[in-house]
Amino acid sequence: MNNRSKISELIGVVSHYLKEELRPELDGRHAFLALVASNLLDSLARETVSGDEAALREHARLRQLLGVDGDIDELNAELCRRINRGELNENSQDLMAHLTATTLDRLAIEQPAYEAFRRERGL
Amino acid sequence: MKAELGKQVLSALRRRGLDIDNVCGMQRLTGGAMQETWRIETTAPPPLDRLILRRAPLNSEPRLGTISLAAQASISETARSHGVPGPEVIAVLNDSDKLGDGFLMSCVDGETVPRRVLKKPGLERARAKLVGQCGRHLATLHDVPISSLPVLPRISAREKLENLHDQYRRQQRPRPVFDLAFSWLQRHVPASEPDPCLVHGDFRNGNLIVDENGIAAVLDWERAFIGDPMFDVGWLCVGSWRFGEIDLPVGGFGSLADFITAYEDAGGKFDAARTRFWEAYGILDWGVTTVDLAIEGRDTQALETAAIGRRTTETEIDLIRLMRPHE
Repeated sequence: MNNRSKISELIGVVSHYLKEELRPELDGRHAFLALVASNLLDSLARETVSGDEAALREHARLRQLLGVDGDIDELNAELCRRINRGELNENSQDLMAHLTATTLDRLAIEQPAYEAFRRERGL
Repeated sequence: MKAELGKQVLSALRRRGLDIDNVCGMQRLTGGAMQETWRIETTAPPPLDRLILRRAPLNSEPRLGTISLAAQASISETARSHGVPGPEVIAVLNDSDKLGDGFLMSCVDGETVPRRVLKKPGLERARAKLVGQCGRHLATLHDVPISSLPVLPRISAREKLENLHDQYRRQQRPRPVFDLAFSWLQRHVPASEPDPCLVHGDFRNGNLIVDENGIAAVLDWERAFIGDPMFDVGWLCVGSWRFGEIDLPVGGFGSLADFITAYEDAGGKFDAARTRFWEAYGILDWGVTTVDLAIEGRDTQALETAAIGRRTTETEIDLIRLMRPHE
């Protein structure tokens, strides 16, 4: 965890350089791309800190929802099969709770400024 | 590459009898992850002093579900003749131009960056007009006679959905929210097909040039097809195109009620259920596309394209919110 925090902080330093120091020196397309690069690095920094925990929570929820064991990819494939067979749909509260929690965990890493994410989290 | 491109543009213009001494500036524009767009300055008097080049890099086929740039230029000109604002097409490229597939058009002044369209000071009056103009322009373009257009793919709701499903299956990356969305869409395919008409296919904030009077140009006919006009309305409401203004479903700048009034006043026939179907379809389409773009961006080392892969999940939360049963 200590190591991850350090990696995340270093990524943050590079991101800060791109956004605050390099970008003002650039024009047009490259100024825009410096911002894109900075935002991408910020999400990778969050991934480093909380990506694994989010995956563990998703895996635990999948086992609970499906009542079977397997790795996370196998269980997601199984969930897709049950959805495609019509065994689960949007009227299943358990399914919707799982999908919402998993999606919000990923958004917290990838797009925490997305307005629908903020609404769902009550921010 | 830039100097060479400038020379080729100059030759292309001269070949069409346009009296231009020199190209004095070339700038690759931000945006348009799909194709190259360049702003070109020449020594000629207005309106030839500033041109836009839109081209597909050499040797590349139109992306699946898209039409050639030559066809796009032709549709844009036809729509413009019916009153849909757009740039003037100056030249459609051919093989002897050695510039690839594409066209040169006049440069229309205004803002295209979506967040600036929604926030920039000085555009307040324009923003108030956008929803009405969207209603009017969409009604107009949906009424363009199909016979006056180049041959376009005719695609039903069910075919559109099946094509997207194939695209998703080819990715072999199961995402339960997407599977649920396909299931939902299959259960909500509109019962009746409307009279087919010209559909823009990518009518949204980002493909509109906005000046102080509102919409100055409708751009990017890459995904035009013949089908259900409500596709364009649903697409305009997709959450990713609201840019944070999620309580204003129409493009992040207007209410659906105001849109309907303008659309019907201009002769359009609005349908709420089909619009909701196409909004859900639109979110899923963009979501599946972001997965392809993430792969393409990594393959081609294109940063902007690769970064779009971090936007897949936002489409999942929008799908969940749309499908979630209301108490």
